[in-house]
Amino acid sequence: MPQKAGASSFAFVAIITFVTWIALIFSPGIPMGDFLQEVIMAVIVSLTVAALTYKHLPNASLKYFHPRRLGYLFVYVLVFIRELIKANLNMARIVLSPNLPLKPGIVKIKTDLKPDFARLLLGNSITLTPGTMTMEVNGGTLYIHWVEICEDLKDAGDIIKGSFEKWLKGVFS
Amino acid sequence: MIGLILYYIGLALCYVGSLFFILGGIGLYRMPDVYNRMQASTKTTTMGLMSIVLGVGLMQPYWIVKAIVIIVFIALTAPVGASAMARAAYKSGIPLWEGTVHNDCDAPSCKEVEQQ
Repeated sequence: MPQKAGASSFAFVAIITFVTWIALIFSPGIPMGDFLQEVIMAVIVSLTVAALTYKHLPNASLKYFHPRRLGYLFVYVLVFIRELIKANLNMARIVLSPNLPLKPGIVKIKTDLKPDFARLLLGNSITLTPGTMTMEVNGGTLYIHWVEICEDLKDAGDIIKGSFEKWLKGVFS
Repeated sequence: MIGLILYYIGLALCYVGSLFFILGGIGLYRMPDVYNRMQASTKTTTMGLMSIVLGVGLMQPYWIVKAIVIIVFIALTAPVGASAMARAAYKSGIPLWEGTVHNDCDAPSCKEVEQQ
C-alpha cells in the first residue's frame, strides 16, 4: 500500500510541475520545434522534481484530479473571485469614509477541514475576503482579525467562512 | 479588431488596478494600527496586482498564459505573507488599537505575549 501511495504522489507532483512549466513557457504562436524542445525539458524537470520531493508530500495524490473535485475547485475559484472584488469595494468604502467606521477585534473560529493544504487555502480565502485576516492557525482553530466585528459572536464562524468551507470540503474530502 | 478591444479592456484593468493601489496607500495612511493597516494594504494590493497583470496579459496576448500563472502564484502567496507579518507583529507585542472591541486570542503564541 505505501508503494502505491508513493507512486500516486509522485505522479501528482510530476503532473503539477509539468503543467506549470508548460504554462510558463507556452505562448500563442511559438514555433513547433522550440515547443517540442520545451516539452522534453519539462518532462525531465518535472520527473526530477517529483523524484526529489514526493517523499515529503505524502498527502499529494492523484485522487485530486477526479472530475468531481475539479468541479468543486472551479466553483471555489469563482466564489473566491466574487469575494475578492466584494472585499476590495468594502475596503474602499471604509478607507474613503470620513470617520473611519472601524470596530476591530480578534475572533476565534473552528474549522473541520483536516488536510494542511485545505486549511492553508481556507486561511488565504479568509485573508482576501471582506474585512477579515487570518492571524494564526493552531490545529483546527483560526484566529481572525476583523475590521468590523459582528454583533453576535456565535455567527462569526459562519459569516467569516462563508461558503468557502463547503466547497473546500468537496475538494479535499 | 478583437485585438483592439482586448487592448482597451486591458488598459481599463490596468487603471482599475492602479486605483486600488492608491486606495491601499490611503488606507495605509489612515488606519489606526498595524493590523488594520495590514488589512487595507493586503487586500487592495493583491487585487490591484492581479488586475494589472491580467490587463497586461490582455494587451499583449503573447503573455496571457504567463499572466494567469503569475495571478495564481500571487493568490497563493500574498495572503500567507500578510498573515505571517500580522502574526509576527502580535508575537512581538505590538498593541492593538484602543478602539479594539474584542480579543479572543488564546493560542500558545498569544499566551507568550501575555506572560512577558
